[in-house]
Amino acid sequence: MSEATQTTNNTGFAGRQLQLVTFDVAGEEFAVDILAVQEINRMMELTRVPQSPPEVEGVINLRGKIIPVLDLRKKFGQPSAERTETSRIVVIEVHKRVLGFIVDRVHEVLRISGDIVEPAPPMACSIDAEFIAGVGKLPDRLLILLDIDKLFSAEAAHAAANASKSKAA
Amino acid sequence: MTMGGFDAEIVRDFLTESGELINQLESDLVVLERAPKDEAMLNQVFRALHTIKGSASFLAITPLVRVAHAAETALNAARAGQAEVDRAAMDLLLEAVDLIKSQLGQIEAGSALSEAREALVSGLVAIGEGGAKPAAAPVAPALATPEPASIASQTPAPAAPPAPATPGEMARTPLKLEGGKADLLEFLISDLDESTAKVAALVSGLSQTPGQKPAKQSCEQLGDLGEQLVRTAQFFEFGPLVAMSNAVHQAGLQLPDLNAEGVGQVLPRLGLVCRHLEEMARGVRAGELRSPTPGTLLESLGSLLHGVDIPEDRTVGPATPLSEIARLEHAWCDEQATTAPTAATPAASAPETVAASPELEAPAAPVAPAISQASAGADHPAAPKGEAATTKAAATENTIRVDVSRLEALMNLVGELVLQKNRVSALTRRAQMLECADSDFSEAITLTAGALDRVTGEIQTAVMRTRLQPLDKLFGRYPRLIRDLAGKTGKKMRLVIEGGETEVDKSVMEELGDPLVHLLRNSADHGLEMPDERAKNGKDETGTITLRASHEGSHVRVQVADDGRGLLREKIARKAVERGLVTPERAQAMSDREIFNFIFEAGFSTAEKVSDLSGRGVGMDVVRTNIQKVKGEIELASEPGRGTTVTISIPLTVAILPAMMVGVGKETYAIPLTNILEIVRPQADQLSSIGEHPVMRLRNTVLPLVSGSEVMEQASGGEKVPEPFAVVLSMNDRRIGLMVSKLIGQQEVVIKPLDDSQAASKRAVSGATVRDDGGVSLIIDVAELMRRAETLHHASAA
Repeated sequence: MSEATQTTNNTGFAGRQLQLVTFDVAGEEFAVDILAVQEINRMMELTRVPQSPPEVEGVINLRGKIIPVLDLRKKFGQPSAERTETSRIVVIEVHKRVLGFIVDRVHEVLRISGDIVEPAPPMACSIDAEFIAGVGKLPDRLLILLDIDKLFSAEAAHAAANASKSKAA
Repeated sequence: MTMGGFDAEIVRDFLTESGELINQLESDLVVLERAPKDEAMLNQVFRALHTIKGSASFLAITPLVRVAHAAETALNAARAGQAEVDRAAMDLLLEAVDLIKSQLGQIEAGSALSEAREALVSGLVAIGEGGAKPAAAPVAPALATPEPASIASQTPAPAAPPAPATPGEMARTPLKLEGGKADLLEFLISDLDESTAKVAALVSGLSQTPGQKPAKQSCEQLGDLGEQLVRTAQFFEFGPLVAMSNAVHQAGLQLPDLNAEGVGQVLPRLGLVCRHLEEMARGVRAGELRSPTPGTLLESLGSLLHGVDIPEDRTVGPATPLSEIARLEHAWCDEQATTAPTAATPAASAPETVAASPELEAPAAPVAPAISQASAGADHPAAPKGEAATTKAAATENTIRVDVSRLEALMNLVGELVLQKNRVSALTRRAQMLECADSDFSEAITLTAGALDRVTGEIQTAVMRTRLQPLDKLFGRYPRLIRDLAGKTGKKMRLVIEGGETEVDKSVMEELGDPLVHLLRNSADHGLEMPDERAKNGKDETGTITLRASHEGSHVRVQVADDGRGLLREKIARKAVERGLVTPERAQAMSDREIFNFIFEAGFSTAEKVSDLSGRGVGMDVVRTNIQKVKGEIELASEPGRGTTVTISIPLTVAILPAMMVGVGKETYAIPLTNILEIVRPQADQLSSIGEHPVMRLRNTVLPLVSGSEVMEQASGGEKVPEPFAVVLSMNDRRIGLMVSKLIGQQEVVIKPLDDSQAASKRAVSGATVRDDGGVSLIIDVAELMRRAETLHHASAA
């Protein structure tokens, strides 16, 4: 995925085999590189931390380490939804930080050819094109490849928080 | 500066090792100043410096080697009794130590190294030459080595006189060194000469007493010298020299364990080894690598040292001339020509030497393992003996370095293990309650759970202990500080350290460092009087500052006490009134302790003059803040004319916090127990409000209240969370009541850091902890809570 980040706007995936974890957030299907994913957990009780950015839902105990958990819906500027049986916490490591994000459902591990990935068309979906590494055109559906480096960098987190505020205003 | 060509790991090891040595060196030097004749200390200091220099020259760090060499020269003269370590000399030595320290820092930071100022090097060298005082020797030549500079230059000097009696059986190659190393050549040559001469002296000394057991001390010195030589030889990448030096090193280690017969065989051979070393040294000085044929010399020595017999025809007597030994071992010897007539078959040696010549073709080939190979070749159980030697060498070094992050990871896992263990215990209790038909089974579970409990507890303690370090590590820095302060203030003072062996957690140690420096400075600068004033008051002219550490339950207590003039209550009270911290009437009524506590306020200084050292009023509040950061407490006691004592009390480890668990709404929070004064359940008539802010009356005082659910931003959906309890918190003599829903109980919690990059602003939470059920509870930051409440209440109070 890190290689992919440098090539947000062209098909830097061409000629490569991609192995992705795909999941649903607010009715759209997203994917991240499997190497970035540490584990996927069932929902557990979150502890809310005061004075945190709005998308941070709280913290959990991951085998003795306290990690923050973000709600991707809020991150994408969508209203938060009820947690269901299928909700999962995807734990990733990005910028040497371990964090988790909540998704509505985890689908599968998918192998696709990088050749079918195209740059994100602006304004094509609900989230900022900045966070999209590319769009995978599967025979039956579209898959949004997330650029987690950008999505979860601390600065981006604050910028996103501010942006969503100003959008709301 | 890049350490070109060297593995980053080697450089890192060098930095760690040298860093430790130089710190030790610094405190040793201060000890040495008080007892300049202490030979053991002189040797220790010399050796530390020598090791640093050796490693630095291996890495070709020229500026560092230069200053280290100069300092070493001075110390060497002191060791030999030719120079005295007086105050001026010590100033130079300490300056050299400071310089090396900053150079180490620069290497670590990858920046260019600062060079020694010329006066420092020349001053040290002048001491080394036992000559004029440094002041009188303005610009002596930078280097004391008598050898002409031509050797230091890149090309070897073939003009140097050839070694006397050059025999045929010796390979010679011009000495070539890379740029960086060539600069160091001079140091290394003098090292080589010096060590070789010492080895020769020791060997001949040992040979004087045939039949007796060799003196242990001499053997140790021999071993040390051999080791140094090996290092020097490695620098030249000169295999034969490495092998010879290694033989000396091994001999030093093994000699004391050999029987008289063995010693009788080894010592004469060592004599020959010395000849070889000398010849090699001469070669290096002349700019070439000379490899005198070792023949079977090293092999025989290896066997002898490991108690393996050598062929009978090679045995020698104490009076056997070196040339004869050389003949027996088919080795080179410069005495061959003169003693040839006594040798039975001088001609026989020639062909055999030719046979050994393949070795000569490649003089730089590593020959170091020669000894071990030799002993392995003999059909004798030599291997275990070799191991024994290794164990012996390792005995002095029974510690290992471990990355702190690994210990932290281990600690985390242990924490998790404890949680799982708690769950097992809970499940066991439930299993017992079930009407289980098989009582044996239930008993087995209970026993197992009990054992698990014990083992986990022990693991936890053991892991905690790995993070503990003796305070001496920290205290070792301070004698130097006091020495410098004495110099700057013109006062006489001594530092007494007690309880340096007290162990504390690594992180606690780090937090203690700066506050202690502040306190010691304060004592030296403000506390102690000038010598004449002290004499007038009938005190010893030399003031004493005592640094005392001890364990007290789960806390460690560190005291800084001076026997100086003490604090003046009136002065502090006046200043406090001036600054509007207290009314004059109130100040009258306050106890000494309360008055003295004002000096912990920010910007509070009663010193009449601001000095370079302290008095700017930024010290004491920083001290208090740092101590409070690790949940510690600080107290001050003082008696006019008798001195001041500051006592710091901090928890042994910052990873574990005694806390009160409280419930607010659905969440559970931990509050540090040290901050809790009491917990009350306010009655309706005690509650009121000032402006918009709730307060309660508590025994004639008004206590501001804050709601837990508000501070913790619990979205309650409009419903008010019932909060019947007020936890009375105190910090720095300020109080506040935190309203909570539920009291759960007292517990020791393990502090986990929160990912701070997610914090939008400073929050009233200092960390988190994991509960028995695996959930996370936040730890309330009382200081931040106070700050918030204060800004809220400030308007209403005004």
